[in-house]
Amino acid sequence: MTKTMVKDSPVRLLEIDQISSTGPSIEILNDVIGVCEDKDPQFILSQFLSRGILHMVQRSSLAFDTEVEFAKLMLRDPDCFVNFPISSILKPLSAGGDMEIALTSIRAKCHSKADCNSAVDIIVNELPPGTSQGLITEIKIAALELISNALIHGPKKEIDGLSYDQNGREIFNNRHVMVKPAFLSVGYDEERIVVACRDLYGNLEIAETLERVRRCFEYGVSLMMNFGPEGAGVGTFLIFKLASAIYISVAENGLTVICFSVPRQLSQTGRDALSKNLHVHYKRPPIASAKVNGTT
Amino acid sequence: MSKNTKSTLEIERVGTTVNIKVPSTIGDQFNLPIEPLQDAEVLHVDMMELKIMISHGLRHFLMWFYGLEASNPTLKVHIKNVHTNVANTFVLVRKSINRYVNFDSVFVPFFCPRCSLDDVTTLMTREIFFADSNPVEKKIKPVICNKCGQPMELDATLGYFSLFENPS
Repeated sequence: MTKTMVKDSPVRLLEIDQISSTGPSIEILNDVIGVCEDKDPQFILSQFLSRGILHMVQRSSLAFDTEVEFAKLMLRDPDCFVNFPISSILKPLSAGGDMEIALTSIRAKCHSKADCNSAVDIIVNELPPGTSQGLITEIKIAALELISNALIHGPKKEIDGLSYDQNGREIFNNRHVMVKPAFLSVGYDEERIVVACRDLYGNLEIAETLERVRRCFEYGVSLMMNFGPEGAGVGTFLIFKLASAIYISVAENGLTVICFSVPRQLSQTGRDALSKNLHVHYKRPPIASAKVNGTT
Repeated sequence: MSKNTKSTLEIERVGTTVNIKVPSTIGDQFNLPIEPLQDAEVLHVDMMELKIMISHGLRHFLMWFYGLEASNPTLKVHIKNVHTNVANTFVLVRKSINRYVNFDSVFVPFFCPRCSLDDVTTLMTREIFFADSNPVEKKIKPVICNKCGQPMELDATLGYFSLFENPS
């Protein structure tokens, strides 16, 4: 992973109160944390998609101060998030190897799409005692979406023609093949539970994925859902709907880390009503790189 | 009467009525039938075993509903025993499926704000929901928290029960 350009630059907190009327951003704002209050998910996603703001934190969200500190950490030292995601999110001021070990309940390695359910069961079994059944189920759904995405979309983009046998094992040219593993981990503090997923492909197209999620919010899932081989972003939409914050880092052709956090104690309606935050990091800005690719 | 457990579904046919029990997981090989239902008049789908559904499962069901509607538009589809998170997912596509699909019963979530515990064992039926104009809480026997012994709170918005509504 490369360091961001703002390693030694001050980070600005920018009050955001309206969506930019301009089109897609051609510039990624590497030194800005967007701050707002009581905005809906479409607004938060639009700030990234149209303004290039990588971090949107709402005053009305859970753990606002910690979320701002996390955004500063991600701008200053994105490697820290990539290597120690759970401690970076829960304890950004003391994130690192020791804190990661202290906060991580368990880590599950998954070698095949066929093993996704078992990997999710492993991490769900390590959720904090007293977690409500409804929340356990929702975390299970979001974790399944994450690990399935990692083990389906990642390899399929790299191996053209990848398919599956009746047990869900990967096949290419009529032979079983090994795909790169993905990892799930879970950790928590007194207030929040964090689930992290890492794959070794690094080919998630963040802007495209989040635009699909935004459209799911704006137009509804029915209109967005298609029945072709490519997803409509509904899985990611379900994660975004559940989570109080989403954290995404992609190092192109290297690594994708996606995490989400949820409150431990709230009811389902309480969770649904929470303001959401979004944190994104690219090794290479996707729009700029797309332009370069398009002209060469 | 015939019984068939192919495709991990339990399918039972009695005259022109077909009963289907959905299994607990929906994998890649999951195949909901369309052709055997082409001459059926009523379809009952029991979702008691299905406690978790991700986007993949939603896609299967949408394809099935759309396929059924195209092949047998007069079929009466009734779905019962829908668990909370499955119902929450169906709510997202309600407008597309409610013209064809009738949800007969869903589990209703309750939450204890004192103990942060939930309960998802209470079933609400369409008949009870539309029986009178009382709020949902008044239609259901109070749910008591196992830990503190106090009544729990309903943990669903009115949007959750929109599954019962059919567009006119």
